[in-house]
Amino acid sequence: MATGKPGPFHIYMAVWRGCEDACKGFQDYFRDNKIPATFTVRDAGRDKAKLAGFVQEARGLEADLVVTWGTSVTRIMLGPWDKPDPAKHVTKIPAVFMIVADPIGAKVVRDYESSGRANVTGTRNRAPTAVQFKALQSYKTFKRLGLIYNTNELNARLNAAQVRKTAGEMGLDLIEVKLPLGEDGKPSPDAIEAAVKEVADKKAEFLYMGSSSFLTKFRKPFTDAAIKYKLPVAAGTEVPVTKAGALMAIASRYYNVGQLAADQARRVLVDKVAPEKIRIQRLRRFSFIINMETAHKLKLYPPMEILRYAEVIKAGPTQ
Amino acid sequence: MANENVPAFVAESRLTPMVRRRLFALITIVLVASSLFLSWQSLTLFESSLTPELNKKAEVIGLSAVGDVERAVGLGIPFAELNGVGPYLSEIGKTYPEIEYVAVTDVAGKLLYSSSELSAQTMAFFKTSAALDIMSGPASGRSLEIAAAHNLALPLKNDGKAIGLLHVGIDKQFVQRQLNDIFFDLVIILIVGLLVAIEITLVLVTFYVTAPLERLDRVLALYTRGNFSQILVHKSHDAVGSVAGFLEECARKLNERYERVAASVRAAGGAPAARLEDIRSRYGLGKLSKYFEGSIVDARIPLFIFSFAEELQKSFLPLFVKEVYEPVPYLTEEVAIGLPIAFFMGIIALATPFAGGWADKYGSRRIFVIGLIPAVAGYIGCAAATTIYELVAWRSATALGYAMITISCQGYIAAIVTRENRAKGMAVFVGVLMSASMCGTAIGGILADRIGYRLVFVLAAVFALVAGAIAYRMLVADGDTIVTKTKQKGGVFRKLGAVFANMRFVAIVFLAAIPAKIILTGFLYFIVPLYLFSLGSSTAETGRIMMIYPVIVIALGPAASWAADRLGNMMWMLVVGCFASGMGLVFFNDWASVWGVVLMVIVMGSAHAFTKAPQIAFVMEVCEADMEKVGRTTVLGLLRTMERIGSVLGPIIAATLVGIFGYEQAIMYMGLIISGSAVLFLVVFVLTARGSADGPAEGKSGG
Repeated sequence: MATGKPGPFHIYMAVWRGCEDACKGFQDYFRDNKIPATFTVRDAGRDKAKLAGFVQEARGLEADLVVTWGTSVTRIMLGPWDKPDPAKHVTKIPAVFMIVADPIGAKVVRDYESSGRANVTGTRNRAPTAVQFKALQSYKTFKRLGLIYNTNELNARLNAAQVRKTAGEMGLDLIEVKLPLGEDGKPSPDAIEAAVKEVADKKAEFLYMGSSSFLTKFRKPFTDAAIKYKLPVAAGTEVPVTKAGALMAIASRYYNVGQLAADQARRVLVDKVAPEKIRIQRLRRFSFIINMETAHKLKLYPPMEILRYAEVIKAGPTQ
Repeated sequence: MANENVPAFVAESRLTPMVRRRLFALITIVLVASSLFLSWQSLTLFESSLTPELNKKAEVIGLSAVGDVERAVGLGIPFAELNGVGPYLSEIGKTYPEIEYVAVTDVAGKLLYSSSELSAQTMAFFKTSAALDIMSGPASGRSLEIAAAHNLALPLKNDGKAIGLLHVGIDKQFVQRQLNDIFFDLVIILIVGLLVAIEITLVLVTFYVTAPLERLDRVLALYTRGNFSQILVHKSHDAVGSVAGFLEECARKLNERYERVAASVRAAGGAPAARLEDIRSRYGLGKLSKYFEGSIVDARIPLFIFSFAEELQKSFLPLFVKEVYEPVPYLTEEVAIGLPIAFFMGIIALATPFAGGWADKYGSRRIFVIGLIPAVAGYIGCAAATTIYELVAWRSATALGYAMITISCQGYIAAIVTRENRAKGMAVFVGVLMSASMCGTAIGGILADRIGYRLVFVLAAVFALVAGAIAYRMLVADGDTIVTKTKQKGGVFRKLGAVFANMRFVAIVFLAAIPAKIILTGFLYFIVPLYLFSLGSSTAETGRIMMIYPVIVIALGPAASWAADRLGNMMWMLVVGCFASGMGLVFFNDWASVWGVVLMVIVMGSAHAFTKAPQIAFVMEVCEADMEKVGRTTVLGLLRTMERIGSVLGPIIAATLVGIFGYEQAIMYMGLIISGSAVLFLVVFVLTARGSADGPAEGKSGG
């Protein structure tokens, strides 16, 4: 595999909350393909303040490649595609980002053909909204879709717009509820239950959980409230299903996303392809991830057809 | 193309018929008996092995469903609350045609889920102890015969505890349907085997036994008449060979003796010399030549094998084209699919006149062998083709080869037979094409089902090469078939113009001959394979149905000639035949069943059997005056060439109609076009008859 630079590559990985599946998938790819590499993994532990130091450290270590995990890490370390700041952002070292739901919306890249920046490429991991909704229909046909989001995040607003468009195209009735913002301009976790109740009262059949850092953070109270009001939650990423009580997600597994990002890194390091020339890719196959515990609570069991290929977690009869 | 209605087997001499009749009878009896025995054996064997095979397959399918259900239950979903099991089971039922139903019951035999509605009787069976005992019984007793199906029951378990049964019902008719299919295939193979065996035996017997004997007979007859000018050349060391050798020896000695005497007498001169000259001319002495006679049968096997190879694709070509189809600019999908057939016919039409010239100039054998190059290249090309353009190109290549090979055989036969025998010779030629069409179409369909379209083309290439090898061995050297052409006198086009001025000839060409070809290539070759496929037929079945056409044309041939002789009125036979061939399509197009197609092909085949001979006879009748000017061959050649326009147009017209109206309506419109042209044909003749009361037509019998 390794045909270019002989020595082991030094890869600097900046992650948001520990070296989870994507981070592992990335490293495994290098190991499995016998590409010599050493990894420096730095965990921000959900603290944005640490990220500036990571940029300096990567430069000081003269890393061959920087990998960023998640929208926050990526945005702060790589900067916007159209006006990156060479002082604050990684502008020389090749960088590969992963687990960024909407890289265009986050201004990390210009478009999916090219990041628009000489040193940046990466992966996106969200299934197209239409694919997600069609998968939902195969679980249980529905007409009324609920959506709760916070307006103070660009990501969440962009995602809401996308959901609105797709729901319209598929002839679904969308029940939108915006989380109220406090005086600090931020939503409060206490407002979540009321919003869920409102969606349930309006007879939504599914509650869609789109891209939102706020809701991802408060996923537990969010999905608990949904179960309380008998609302199945469908998510665009796996975390709310694996780490909370969302019923299901149609998403790429993080491990596989990590491998895809590693493949892009290989092209940069080994094949010497300019990052600018590498498309912002996503996996073509998505997994149907089902939380069986929630299915039991809601008495909403997946159809046989889906069970045949779905990944079922938290299986076994409840309590 | 093969389309005449003359019987396939025509006697060539007075010695062969007796031998042949006995041989035919013997071969038929032996082959039919052994085939029946084999068929019966294989059918029983098949039946006894198919049922357990089916059971095994049902078990595999059932176990996979059991696995899925058990997994769902294992996930903690209550057995009675499983979601989407009905649709899931229906999907299984739809995927496997041999499965009648799949059903899931609980431990009490109560039906929970099923792939389709079940009869009360079947549901009652699920509750019987015979069924319920299977949950705890041994694996061997899971298959039970009930009214609706062969029922296979598989226990469903969770945590090692029985929770119910999954029943798989195997369609009882399925085995019977499979057996029927195989039975038909066996019948086809029997018929084809019989034809091929007879064909080959006939040729071998003629080639090695009767023809040499006849030559010997003729040479002996010459000698008996006192003509010793020729010797029989027969190389093989058999009885004929040694007799021929002995005779040759005698003839040579006689000649030598004559020469010796002649030398001495000539020196003397005078009256003895004149006397000697008299003896020489009386006994044909002085110049010894080889007695040689080619035979029609020489060309039979190569022609049969080559046409057989060519006909293999007939039952599936449009389906194959459809498989590689990609949009072609300016053309609808249907028309694009018709292109390979149209180009094939077009190239044959264009190449045949040239190929005929080549065969005359360079000899039949050479053109046959050279023709194999494009033909075989075409088959290999088709086998590897991935686009519609490649298919069109390669079919065109084969068409060029086909034109060269068929015309070289025709030329060979024409060169060998005497003038009076020419009609007979052509009958042999057309008969061979017809029986090859029968065999090739049916066998090709069966093969395509089993080995796929592409390999059938490869096989066609192999057969074509075999035909070439045999042709090289059996056809006499080219020197004997080269025709020194009498130079075409000038103004041939002006003369043709005169033929075209004959309204009645034009009417026959455009309102009878061309429509007959349109329905043949457009309906039979293009629509039938596609339409039958859409009705769910296998290519084997399609081949069987298409084979009906040549079978009927051959079978009704004698009846048709008898009718033509008795009725005498060629025009009416032609009109009624053309009209009827189209009406079959009008009447049966909306049956939407295989039997509808069968009836259409039967009607069309019968109509064509009855119109072919009258068509030629009628042209000769109508063009009596023209034929005196330009010759019979020219007029009939013109008819042949013109009707090929219909062969080219057929698939294009059919495809256009299918694209607009769909199969059934398109078939109806094709029928209406054909029958309509027959009506128009009648009108033209009634009008022209009135216009020239003293004309040659007006119901005058052929004579």
